[in-house]
Amino acid sequence: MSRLIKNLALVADPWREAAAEGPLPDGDVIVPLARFTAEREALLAREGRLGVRLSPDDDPAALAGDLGHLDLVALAFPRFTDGRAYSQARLLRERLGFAGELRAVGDVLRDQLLLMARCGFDAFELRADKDPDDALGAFADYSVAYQAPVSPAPGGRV
Amino acid sequence: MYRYDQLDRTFVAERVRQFRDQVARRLDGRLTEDEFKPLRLQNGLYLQLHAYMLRVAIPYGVLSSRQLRALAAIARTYDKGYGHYTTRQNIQFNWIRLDQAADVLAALAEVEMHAIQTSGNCVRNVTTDHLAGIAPDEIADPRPYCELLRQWSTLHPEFSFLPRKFKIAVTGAEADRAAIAVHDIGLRLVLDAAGAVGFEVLVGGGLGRTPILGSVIRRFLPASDLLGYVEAILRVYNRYGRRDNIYKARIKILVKALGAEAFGRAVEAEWQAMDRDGMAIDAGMLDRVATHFAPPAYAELADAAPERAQAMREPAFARWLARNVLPHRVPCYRAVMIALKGGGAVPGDATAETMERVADLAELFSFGEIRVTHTQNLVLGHVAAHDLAALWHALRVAGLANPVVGTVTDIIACPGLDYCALATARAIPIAQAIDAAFADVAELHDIGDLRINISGCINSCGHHHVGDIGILGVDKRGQEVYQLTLGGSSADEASLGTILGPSLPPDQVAGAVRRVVDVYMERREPGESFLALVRRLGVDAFKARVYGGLEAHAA
Amino acid sequence: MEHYVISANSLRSGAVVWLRVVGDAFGWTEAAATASVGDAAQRDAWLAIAEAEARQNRVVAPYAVDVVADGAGGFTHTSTRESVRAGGPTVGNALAR
Ligand code: SF4
Repeated sequence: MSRLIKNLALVADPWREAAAEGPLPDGDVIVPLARFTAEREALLAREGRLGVRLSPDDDPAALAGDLGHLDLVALAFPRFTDGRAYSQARLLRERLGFAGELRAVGDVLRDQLLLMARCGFDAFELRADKDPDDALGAFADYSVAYQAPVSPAPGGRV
Repeated sequence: MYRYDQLDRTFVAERVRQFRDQVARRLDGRLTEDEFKPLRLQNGLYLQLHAYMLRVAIPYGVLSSRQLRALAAIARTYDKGYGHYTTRQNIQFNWIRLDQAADVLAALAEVEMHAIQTSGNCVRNVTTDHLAGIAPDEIADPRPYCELLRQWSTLHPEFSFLPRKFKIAVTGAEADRAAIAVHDIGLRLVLDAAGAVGFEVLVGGGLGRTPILGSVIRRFLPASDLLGYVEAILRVYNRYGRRDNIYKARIKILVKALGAEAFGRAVEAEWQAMDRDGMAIDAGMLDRVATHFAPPAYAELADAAPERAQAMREPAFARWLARNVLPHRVPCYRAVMIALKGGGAVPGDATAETMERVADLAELFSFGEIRVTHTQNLVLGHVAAHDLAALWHALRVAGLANPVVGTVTDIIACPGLDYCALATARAIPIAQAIDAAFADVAELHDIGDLRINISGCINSCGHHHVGDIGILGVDKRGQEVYQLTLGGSSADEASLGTILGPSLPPDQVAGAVRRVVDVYMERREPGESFLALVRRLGVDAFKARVYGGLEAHAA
Repeated sequence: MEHYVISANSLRSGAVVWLRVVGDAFGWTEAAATASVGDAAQRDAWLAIAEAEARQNRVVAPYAVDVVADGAGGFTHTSTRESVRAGGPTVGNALAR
């Protein structure tokens, strides 16, 4: 069963994760930033969609010139208490204008999903041991917020 | 005071519902303790030495009589009939059950209160001057800005999992009563040459095991830019603050590592790149919030100082006036301090009965408003001068007229090992011993202003680094011993205390304080403060007296 | 010889509890005096029980406490911290109630 939450539902995940080196899987592939930097030309020329995975200490600005060619950026939560990816997400959406899929990966748990969504994430790979149906309830925890929503479209907050 | 609008009400209700669900998921095992702990902390719920403790926010330290009665009711219904006011304008209940915590939060929500972000690695309850809107030396009222900061920081999606806790303090007066230099961000309201309101911005102050005073990173920030600029600071911290070592995770360590100037440049760069217009506080926003803090309907009173005549006749009243009554910006009004100290009291503790009595008196004498100070006392902020005598009598009957505010026995003390799971030693019994050693009120008045701060561990919740006399409890091979520091101050020209000498066993602390005070009394020039004397003489002058003839523990 | 009791907090109430073991049966007690006192070998077995109890969401943060056994099934604590934890606050309003 899929662990991927998108648009308030569990959906099939067409994406495959690539390692730091070695053969690439076919189809839509997510590569780590270092591999993207090293093999940029070949990766962009390849068939299939391309995504890049940032670790929490990567600077999203490293992707500034390439975001138009990327369909997905994955941001990692090594532990759910490590909140750096929230800032990366807002920078990608608001400052760099990334409009593709922004995916939360790693220690992704129900009680942080709404915070992630409000920072601009729109896809969530729930940790394997957690109940996805339970997690879907998170998006209804609040009907209001004190902060303006992060717009996934370029142009910043409205 | 601030009243909730529809958004606030909806939000707080949804917060209670969310926490109730989280507790249910913890109890049935869907959440592990590791997963649940940060969630309960962000709702103010700790697991302490004996039980769960709930820390409730008192935003900018202001309460209505109705709210204070609700706190009393919670103390009675869900706790053991008392609460503890902390150094951060919060109240703590020490005996809350996990399976009733959401009920307590619901009871708080009914009176527009909450426990949100009173703990956890997030932006904590914003604190300010307990005399905001009252003090004659005020440049601008800080409370509207505190409220805007509260709204901005509440469940801020980007900053709910910071490297460590984050405390913001704001002062609007010339005398800093909010200790802004020892906060992660300290904000001082200032006017520029043209008379426009803005903030001086300090970052990287804090106590704990690495006490550091904050550095100014901006001399003047237009007030309308407050939220954007603070957001820029938080973003730099969230991205670059250390997460590998809990003792190095506060922003002060980052500021120190980069240097205040480089840190300031990083903040400026972040801020310049931000949508600053979108973050600006417009006049309408500020006005809407500021109306909540409009002054009460003061009466026009003829006599500016009617209490003087009675003071001539009644020395006890005069003593109370001298220590517990402060001037008000409106000439015929006063601010009255209620010391939750002295007479063997636990500093900052109040029973449900006391809370209810104070709520009644606030309604009778002070427009139904109560303030909570970082010195763990209460304030009735708007008392007509001609009511002072009546109020004094009523407070006396309730045992709340102890005229010791600002004196040696107005001790700031954290709960220490009597309650706190992190403690290394008890704090309260030390406060009580000092209290007993200085029982003579006339002598206390003679000594005058002298602040003692006691912490039960290096986390420094009792702010011992910034007391005239600071006392830190430490554990030496399972025994409690205490380290004294002299010459700390959290006010303007803030300074950290200097260690006096080897640690002392509990039964020698009050005697040591007595000797320190003796030196002060013997050596001070007329009008010289304790701090000034310590700065003039150095601590060695005190050290000789304290340790002469004392059998000190090895350091 | 070293002796231990096993302590934790009740998940639901937060109350301080101690492990009491009788034969194959065990339970949690809020009365320190009725805690079971064990030696080093028993400590490890009992901690395993307590940790399983934590996984069953009955208690939180179990740990072994050093004590001095009196030889008659009773014990005293060796640190101020543990005796305050067992006896409650030593001052103030907590005493009156
Ligand atoms: S200073 Fe230490 S003992 Fe006192 S309340 Fe803070 S953490 Fe607890």
